[in-house]
Amino acid sequence: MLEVKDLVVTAGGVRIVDGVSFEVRPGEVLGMVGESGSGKTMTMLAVAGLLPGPARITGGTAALYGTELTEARLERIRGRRIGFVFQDPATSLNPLMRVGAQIAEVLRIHGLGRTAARRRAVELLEQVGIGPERARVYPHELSGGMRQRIVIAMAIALRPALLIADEPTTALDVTVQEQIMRVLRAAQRETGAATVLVSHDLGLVSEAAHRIAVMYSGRLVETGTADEVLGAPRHPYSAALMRSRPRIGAGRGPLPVIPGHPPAPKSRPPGCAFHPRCPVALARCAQEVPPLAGGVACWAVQDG
Amino acid sequence: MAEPLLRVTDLRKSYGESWAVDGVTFAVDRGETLAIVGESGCGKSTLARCVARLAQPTSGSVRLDGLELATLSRRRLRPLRPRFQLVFQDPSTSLNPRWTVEEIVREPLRLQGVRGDVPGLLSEVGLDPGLAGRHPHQLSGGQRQRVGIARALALSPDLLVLDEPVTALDVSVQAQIINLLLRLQEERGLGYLFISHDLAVVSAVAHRIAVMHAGRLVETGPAEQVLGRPSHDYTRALVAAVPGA
Repeated sequence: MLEVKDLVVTAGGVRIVDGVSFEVRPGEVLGMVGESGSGKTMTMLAVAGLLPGPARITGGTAALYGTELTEARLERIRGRRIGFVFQDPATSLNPLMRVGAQIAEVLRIHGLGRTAARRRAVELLEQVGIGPERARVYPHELSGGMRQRIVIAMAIALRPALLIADEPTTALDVTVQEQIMRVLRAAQRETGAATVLVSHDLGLVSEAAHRIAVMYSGRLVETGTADEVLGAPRHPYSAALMRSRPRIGAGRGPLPVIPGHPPAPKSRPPGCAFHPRCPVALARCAQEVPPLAGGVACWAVQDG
Repeated sequence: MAEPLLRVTDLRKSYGESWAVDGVTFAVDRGETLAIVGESGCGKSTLARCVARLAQPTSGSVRLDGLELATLSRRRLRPLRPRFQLVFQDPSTSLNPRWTVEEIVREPLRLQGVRGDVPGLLSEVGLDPGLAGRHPHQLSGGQRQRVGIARALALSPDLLVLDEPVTALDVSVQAQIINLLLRLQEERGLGYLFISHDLAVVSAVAHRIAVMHAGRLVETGPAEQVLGRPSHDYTRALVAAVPGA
């Protein structure tokens, strides 16, 4: 169980994540969606203790089964209990090491003997659909999709309590995407890990996530089941985002657009960050930040 | 029968032993969008570069209004350049970072030695002419792509070759650029050769779709037919793989 409460991440004096709260239960997949600069990746990097450069947690908590994650001294616990799959498998793999050995190394660092680690590495390869004979190849000998399978095997090797997949298929072709999502979901079910799938792709998230969290300019604006948020979104931003997405079958023609573009956190407007682009904004929306209440952070919904 | 705006016949491009484009034939009319869809490595970007003559085709014909482009020398090609322009996927790498928006949009005009209305072009693509003095890094991704489109329109082309023009953009901005392209096509009667891996995006813009696989077109037809009743196995697999469709 992951519990994130009022998380604030600051970089260069700007709150790039601004008071985010959510929970993910064991075996559950939370889809975290948002556009660039929405803070979705920063939120998960903060939870994982992997914030880059100047970014720091300056408020709130993140706990995994009651263990506070936001303290620096918990580096080792994080490594063992959180598995990662990033967009680009190259950032997670050592180009000079055979893939089987890389998986085995993860296991050995955490206490398994040489032979047991090798045996388990082969099992993990099979689990992600790679034959044992491929254990001796180097990452560059594999396709992007195959490399991402290796990363998934490493991510689940220690049976993590939390699995974070950040745009795991964005760099892959659509037919390969489908295979990787199948492998990822099987791995997630098998480990029972609480899983956060970070993506800009609403279609992808709709197929994989039980619940959805929508972020906008560093804040959560809506949470709910995948059916609720994707089928009947309540926040004006989520609703507009769903409408503006091209869909096969809708035919040729203009899409309903949201005017303007998402604000960078440093130029976030006061009140609700979406109010300048919002078709139903009230006077209050420009002054007070709406709290996330009943799954939606919107004065127009809450007051209406 | 009237000659189509663009007619590509049996186009081939090899790199060493392998054929990136292996005998491709299609036509694009004025006011029409033909989308070329396929996965990475299928040859669609090479095809775009051959049509725009950024790459030299190995063989085959590329006719614009009946004029053969494929075999022309660079010098002979120059006077024809204004008629076909390319819009790239990533505006941040295709725009000179040291130039202002004004300089970027004016460059094709300068090269052809013609006057032009830069503020008018900026307005036409939905950019505040007040942004003319900015540099690309001071713009959002959507604004940068609008600059790329304004530059492509500067010489009043007949054909735009658009290589993944909305792929790098956020969902809400993607919709804005798609709508802009639809409007410009209607107002200017432009022909579009629209290269994309994204079938959902393609469905919003294309009149016709050609599916490319391993250097060849495996299926071509009206958009609703290719997406709704695909006849080739590969097209069926592509359509079925689109998440959330």
